Amino acid sequence: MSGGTMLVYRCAPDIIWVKDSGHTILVDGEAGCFWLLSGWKAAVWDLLSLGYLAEEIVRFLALLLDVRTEMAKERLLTILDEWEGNGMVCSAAEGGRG
Amino acid sequence: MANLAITTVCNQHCAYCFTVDHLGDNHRSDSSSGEQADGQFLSMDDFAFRLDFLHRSGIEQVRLLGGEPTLHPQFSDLVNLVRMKGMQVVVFTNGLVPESALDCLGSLSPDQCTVMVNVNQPSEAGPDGSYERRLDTLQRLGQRALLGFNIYRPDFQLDFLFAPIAEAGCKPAIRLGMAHPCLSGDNQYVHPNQYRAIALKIVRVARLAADSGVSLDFDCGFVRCMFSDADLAALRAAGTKVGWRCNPILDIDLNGDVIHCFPLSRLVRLPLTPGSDAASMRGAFEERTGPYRQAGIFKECSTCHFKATGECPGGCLATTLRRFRHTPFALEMPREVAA
Repeated sequence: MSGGTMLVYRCAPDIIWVKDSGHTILVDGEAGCFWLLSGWKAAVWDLLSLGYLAEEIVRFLALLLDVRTEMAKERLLTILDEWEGNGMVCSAAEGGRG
Repeated sequence: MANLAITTVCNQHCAYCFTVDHLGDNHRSDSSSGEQADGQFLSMDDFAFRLDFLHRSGIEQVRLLGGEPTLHPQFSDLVNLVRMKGMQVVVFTNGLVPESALDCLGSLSPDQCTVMVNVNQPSEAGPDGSYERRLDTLQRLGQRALLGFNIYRPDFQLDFLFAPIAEAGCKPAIRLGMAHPCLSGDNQYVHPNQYRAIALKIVRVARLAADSGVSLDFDCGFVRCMFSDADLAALRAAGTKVGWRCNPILDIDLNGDVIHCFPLSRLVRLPLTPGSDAASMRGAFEERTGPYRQAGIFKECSTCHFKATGECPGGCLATTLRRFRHTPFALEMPREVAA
């Protein structure tokens, strides 16, 4: 049996970032590591930091990558999972339905 | 090298002071009234502990700063301890030096002692008579004195220093610094968008200085791209020692914490222990600050060939860090979760 839930993704507390001409640089000062984002991934981070809603980011991704909305949503979910695994974002469940 | 802070007390209030994050609130001493502020002074025992660190690290030069280091009540004793160990003394001062400290420094030869006298524009010299007191300090120190000047606004002037250098017989050079921001942001500093205008000024000033037999010597934080190739040629023709660097100084504060440099005193601190050595600490700082150095003071730094080849580090790390931000976004995403 599976259910849907609403996850809230937040910028990890130790992450600071800067947008450069070549890429977006994220640094976790506590862990001593960094990531360089470019292309659509940098764009997603930009949109997150600007407070765009998930559906808005998905629509933008679909246009940017020239893919269907469903595929864009998959890409967004995949990158969020990757970033959570890296410690760049963290998630928490808010409510759910079974 | 490493700098030892021996006091938090100061009798000057420079707008660009990069030690504000470590000085605290009660560090001001009114030099005119003699009123002593509630600052801190390093004990002789703690000073000796730091000398041992320098000595086993192979550092034979002891660099004293503060606050105003010459205000330390045991300043002469500290200097004598340095000399007893056969080490060289470098003092960073604002030039408003008590008589006893001047006597102490004056008793050392120029190869035993260098006094970096940081001077501000005469209009910003401080209380009445401060500029004249500094001129007197230069006269008393002569060849021991090397003047320093921090640029914190584009309309800086340096020509007022040329005559005093010659008259006092100081080292014929000016150590030129760029005012850098503390992480608290509580000091005045040069914004990178002012660097090009400042660079043009520096080239003009270098020529004037050379005409007076004075050379300029760059401190940390300058960047290669602020100067054109023609600017560099002119600077070198004027005898300027150019350099683009930002690296761990190893500033040791009164609490025995070692920091990368005072502008970054809030970034990372390492304790000074009986087993500490400078090389390991520099390595540790470089490792901790390495991620931030992916960026530079300009957004173009990450694609700049000067940075890529290692010729330029991308400017002051404290300035670079002011470009970074933390954004507390919150994205709601419906997810299917397996039970």
